[in-house]
Formats: sequence, structure tokens, C-alpha cells
Amino acid sequence: MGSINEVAELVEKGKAKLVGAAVQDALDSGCDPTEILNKGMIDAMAVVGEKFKNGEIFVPEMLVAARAMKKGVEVLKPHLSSGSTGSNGKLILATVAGDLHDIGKNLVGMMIESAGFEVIDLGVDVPASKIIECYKENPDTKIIALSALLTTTMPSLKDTVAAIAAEDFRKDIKIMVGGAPITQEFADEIGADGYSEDAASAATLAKKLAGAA
Amino acid sequence: MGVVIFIREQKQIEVPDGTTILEAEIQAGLCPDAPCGGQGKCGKCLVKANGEIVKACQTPVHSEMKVDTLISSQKHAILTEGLNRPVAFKPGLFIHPVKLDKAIAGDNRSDWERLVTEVRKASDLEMTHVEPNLKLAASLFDKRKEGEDWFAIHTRDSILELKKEKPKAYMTAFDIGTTTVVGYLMDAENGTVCAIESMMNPQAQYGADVIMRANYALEHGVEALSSCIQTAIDELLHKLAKKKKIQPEEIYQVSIVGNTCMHHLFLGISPGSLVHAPYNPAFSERLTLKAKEYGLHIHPQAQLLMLPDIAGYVGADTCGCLLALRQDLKDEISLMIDIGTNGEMVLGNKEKMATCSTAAGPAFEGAKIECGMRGAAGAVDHVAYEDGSWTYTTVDHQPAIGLCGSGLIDLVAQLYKAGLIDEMGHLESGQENDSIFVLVPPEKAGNEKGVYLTQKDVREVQLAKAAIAAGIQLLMKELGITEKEIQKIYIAGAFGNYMNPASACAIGLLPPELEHLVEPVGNAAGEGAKIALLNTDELEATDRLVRGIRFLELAASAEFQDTFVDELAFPEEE
Repeated sequence: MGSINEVAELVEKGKAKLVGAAVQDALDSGCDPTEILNKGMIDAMAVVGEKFKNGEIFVPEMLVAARAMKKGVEVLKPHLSSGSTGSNGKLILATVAGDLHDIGKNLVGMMIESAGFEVIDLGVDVPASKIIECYKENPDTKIIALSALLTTTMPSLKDTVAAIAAEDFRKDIKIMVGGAPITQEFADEIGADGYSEDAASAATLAKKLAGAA
Repeated sequence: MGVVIFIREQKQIEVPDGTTILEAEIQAGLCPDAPCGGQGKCGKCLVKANGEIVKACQTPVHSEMKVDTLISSQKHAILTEGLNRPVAFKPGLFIHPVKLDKAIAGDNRSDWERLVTEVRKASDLEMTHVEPNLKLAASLFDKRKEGEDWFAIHTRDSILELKKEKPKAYMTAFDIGTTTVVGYLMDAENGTVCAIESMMNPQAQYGADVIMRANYALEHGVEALSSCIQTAIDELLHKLAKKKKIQPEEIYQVSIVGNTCMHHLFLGISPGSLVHAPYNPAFSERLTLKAKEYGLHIHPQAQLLMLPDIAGYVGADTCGCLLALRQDLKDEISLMIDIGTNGEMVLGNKEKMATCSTAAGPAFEGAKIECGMRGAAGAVDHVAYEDGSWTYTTVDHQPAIGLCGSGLIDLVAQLYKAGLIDEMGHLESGQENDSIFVLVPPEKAGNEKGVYLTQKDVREVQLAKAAIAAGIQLLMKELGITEKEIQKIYIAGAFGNYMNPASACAIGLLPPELEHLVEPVGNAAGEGAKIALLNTDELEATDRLVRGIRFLELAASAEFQDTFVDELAFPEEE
């Protein structure tokens, strides 16, 4: 429907103030709420992610787009069946123990949320035990996403993945990793299920892993 | 076993099969540049092996390999001069005439005790605790046979040497930068600098930045990195002595400044605590040590002075800058930024001071930028755009082969001014490929690919400058100081000296309103290392200085992310 395209455009452009009204318009003209969410917002954020990947836009534009989507989702929420905003599932996100850096992780969280996940962000310097505890409190979690910024934090990332792998719920979840010094090679080495090199790819990867999970 | 023949360097080395070419280069003592520490990520270790261009760090040696390292003996522009603040000459190293007279019967004082009394008298210093120098004490009996009149070379708490003829004594100040090391030889009698020597920090073969090197140390032990830098300092000491035509043994004091990681590695301290949250130093206080215990072969009794560190990422080098500028003595509110491989900054005046460290990052040092390079011959160091034409200069006027930090900032500033980069950093060059701006086409350049800037390069510059800009904003907030109240911006460090303030302000690296306040102060850290030797009051002031300054850990600041993101964009034009 035409007005869904308008919503998508406003999300892409990051027009947080105008998105709300556009979403209401779309609802009023009879558009299906789930379609507004998927085509007007999640797909729009995927386009934003693509543009970010090829350098057309940068971090600030990505952030304002994510913020605009959040505003749109607020208007949409009462019309959606419960849980459908996080319809792709739950994801636990953390920067591993020994590392305080979080900007990248925060961006990843936002992009994954925009891709239709419910993101539980445990913050920085998070010990493996806390992550495992969080999973046990949220046993429907599909993915655990871990971040490390310094090469010197990589051993901690390895240990965290190993600690999670030792739990019997390992087979029920997927583990994805990322961060400046991380490589696909390292991710494979430590037994992660996936690696992505930026926030946009992380969102794509999360969708893929959740689909397969 | 495999054999690697390095054609250019005319060296050959045998290594076990599977050793990488990079490792072979290190073992052969070639000190290769390895910015990403051998991870295969940066592409700056390229060599021609048996005719094929490969990454040295990713290519294993087997049988016999002929390797062309492709390195021309490039001269790097190393910054040695700094702002000269007039400092009273009140050193901690003295030369005084003393008498070694025979003991009087009944006076049971040792030769040593009588010498100490003589030195106290001659120097008019309290000298309450004098460290025993057994070797010297044992020599006093024989020395007296040569005559009574001697000269003592001493500090306030140790007697280092006795000479029959009036001796010369020298001190040396060092700044151990992540990328470059500089040493200044000074005459102990009047404090004049009589020789300067510098070299690229050979720890570069273990990685370009402190994290890489810390990583190496944590994986392989700290010895390799420690002995590497100790050997380098010793080499510089010998070079300085040779230049001034003196004996290394005539050097009696050494002072060292460096960032906390350089400080720890030199001392042989494992940098584990520096690279794990919350990133604190293992040891940060000011130290007086024995130079010989740290691989320095000068006078056997020579003293080694290490200035104190402030935090994990604000080190003795920043302390050196504090000494060079003494912002803490002024009414004037000033901001000091040392843009080297890291970006430390200090804001304040005599009422309050705060400091933080930002990841200014490798963009200004050449890494992560496609045509990026350090300030070596052929680097484009300034760019201008006027009346529709682009002009540039290069280091040593050699044909352009890349962009160094100052050239990079100029280029981005000019592209932004010309409207080819928009406020959000989107590049539309109007050339064949919109996402690439070619400054020097291959036919005019000194290399095969020419010199150009990509969209991704612009993003790297945005990230680097936003970090510094955010640091400045947060320091101001911490102290409750507004932009208008800042009266001076000192730019220290290698990069800062060549950077064009107008360009820095145009891209928002520095607050655009404050362009007229910018003053480059050169190697302020090195100046501080010198001042520490020239004046003991200043040296001792460092203890107070580091304790009295507020440290801001940006990684723990809730506001950093928002401020950082805000600073990514380029400032609106007036």
C-alpha cells in the first residue's frame, strides 16, 4: 500500500517526528499492522543496513533511522499481536569480560532490534556466568551475541564461548561474535556459529541464524 | 629448513619450514613494519617473494626464497624540537672539586664517610642519605696515591664517580613514542642540548600500536619487547655519544617519558592490567633506578629517571607535556592535545585540571587509509584547493606516493569546503568513480596506483576526529568549562606540528570557533623529559601534578557514545 512506502521512506531518512503520523495514516487506510512493521520498517532498516555497508551512509544516519523506527513501532505496538515486534525471537547481547567498549555493540543491538528481535543487552565487562544466568532466565532466547574490541580481549571471548558451549542448552541456541579484531577465522576457531563485521551484517546474520535455529 | 635471501638488504637467514616471511624478517634484524601485528589485515607488509607480491605475514617460507622487501631507505620526518619554556637550571647532577686527604690517626671514619663529608661541604647540599658506592669506596685508597685533588660527579643521594682532571658530565632525555624514539644529549654543566638522535621504535615489528604490542607480550612474554626497546635506547645513547665525540661512560643520568604501555614494556612489566578493563597501570609512580639494570651501557653508576604515569592510557609522556607547559601554574585556561598514535589531552589551569585519552587512532598515522602512510619521503603533507585547481606538497619534495596525516586532514577539509563531501561525510567526487577522489593520478605519482581518497577513508577520518572532539567536549563538561573560556589550545606531538589548524577546525577535529587559539608546541613530551633533568624542583613537581589531575575514563562515560556520534558529522559552515 502506498502509505507503507511513505513510512519506509521516513524511517530510511530518519524522520522520527513524522513517522508516527505516517504509521497512523497507514493504519487508518486499512493497512495490516504486521505488514506495516515488516515492509515499512524492518525492510527499510535492511536497506539502511545495506547503504551503511557500502559506505553510502554512516553511523549517525543509521542511528537516526533506528530511532525513527522505534518511534514508529511505539505507534504500531497496540495494534500488533503481543510479541510480534520481537517476532524473530530473543537475543542476548554483551561485551565480554575485561572490555569496556560498547559503541559498536550498541549499534549492533539497535540494528538487530530493528530487524525484529527482542534484544537483552547485558552491557560491558560481562562475565560468562552472568550471560548463562540470563539465558536460564530467558530460555526462549535464540541467539547469544558477543562483542570484543581489543585483541587482548579475544582470549576472554574464547573463554566465554567455551563456557556457554559447556552448558547443555548449547544445542538450542546460536552464538555469534564480532568486534574490531575479530575475524571469521577466529570465530570458527572458538566454535561460534557466526561472525559479522559490522552492525548491518550482524542484523542479517541474526535473521539467518534465527531462521535456521 | 628454508632459506630466505633478502635481496635489498643483502642478508640471508635460515629458518624452520613454515616460518612466515615476516618472522624471518624480524629474525634477520630487518625491523619490518607490521601495523596489524601479522594478522594479515592491513596489507602494509607486502614483499616480492620469488617474483610474486605477497603479504609477508601470511606467506610461509619453504626451500629457498628470494625476497625483495620493496623498502627504499625512506627518511621519516621525526619531530625533535619543542616549545622552549624558560626553566631555571637547577639540575640533580653535579661536579664539585673535593679533597681526598689522608685520615688523621684516631679518626676512625671510613674513606667513604670522609668523602661524603667532603662532597657535602663542596656542594653545600644536605645529602642526608647517600647510597653506598662500594666500588668507589674501595678505590679511594689507591686514588689518593695519585693526589689529593679530585672532582666528584654526584647527585643529591649518590656519588657516582671521581675524576682527577676536571670532567665533563652529560645527561640524556628520552621520549619513547609508540612510533618514534628521540634522545637529547645535554651538558650537565649548563644544560645545553648538544646532540639529538632519533629512530623509529623497533617494537613496530611486533605491531603498530600499544594493543598489538601488549597482545604480543601477553602471548609470548614481555622480554622480546623489553629488550628490543632497551637495546634501541642504548643504541641511541651510543649514537649521541659518538656525535658529540664523548664516551658513553660520561653520561651519568637518563630521563625517560613514554606512554604507559611504552613505560611498562621498557621496564619489563607485563602490560596485562593495561589492556583489560578497567585499564589501570601496574605501577605508575616516579622512579629513580640504575640505568645498567635496564640494558643501558653508559656510566655503570648512571641513574635512570622514569617520570610517573597518570592512568592506563595517559602516561609519563603526558606528564612530560605537563612539565613543558605547566598549565597548572597559569590563570589562563588551556587545552593541550598530544596527537601522536594516541590522543591524550589535558584541560584546565591552576584551579583545576582534567585529562583523558581518546583513540585518535591509526588514521592520522597512515594505517586504515588506503593511500595512507607515515610522514616519509613522498607523502602528501599539504593539500590546497583554489580557483578550481588542486595543489599539494610532499615530504622531501619527492613524487607523491601516499597521504600522511596532515595531508589527509587538508584533503578532507578541502573536499568538504568544495562541497564534494557533505556534512554527513558522503563523498561524491564527480570523477570517474564517485566514491573515490583521485588527487594524484598514477602518471604523475611516484607509485603505480596514484594517490586517492575513498569513501571508506572519509569514514575513518570521521571516526578518528570524532573521538578527539568528543574527548574535548567531555573534558569541558567535567570541569564546567565552556568553549568560550578556553584561551589557548596547545597541540603537541609529531602529527600536531605538521597539521594545519584551519583544516583541523574545518573538519571539526578541534572546535571551529577556536582556530585562532591553536599553538603547536612540538615534542612537548620530550621537552618535559629534558626539564626533568634540568631542574629537580620540576622533576619533583611531577608527583603533585599527577596526583592533582582528574582522570576521565571515556569508556566508562555514559555520555561518550552520544557525544561521539554527534561529533561524527562535519561542522556547519559559517
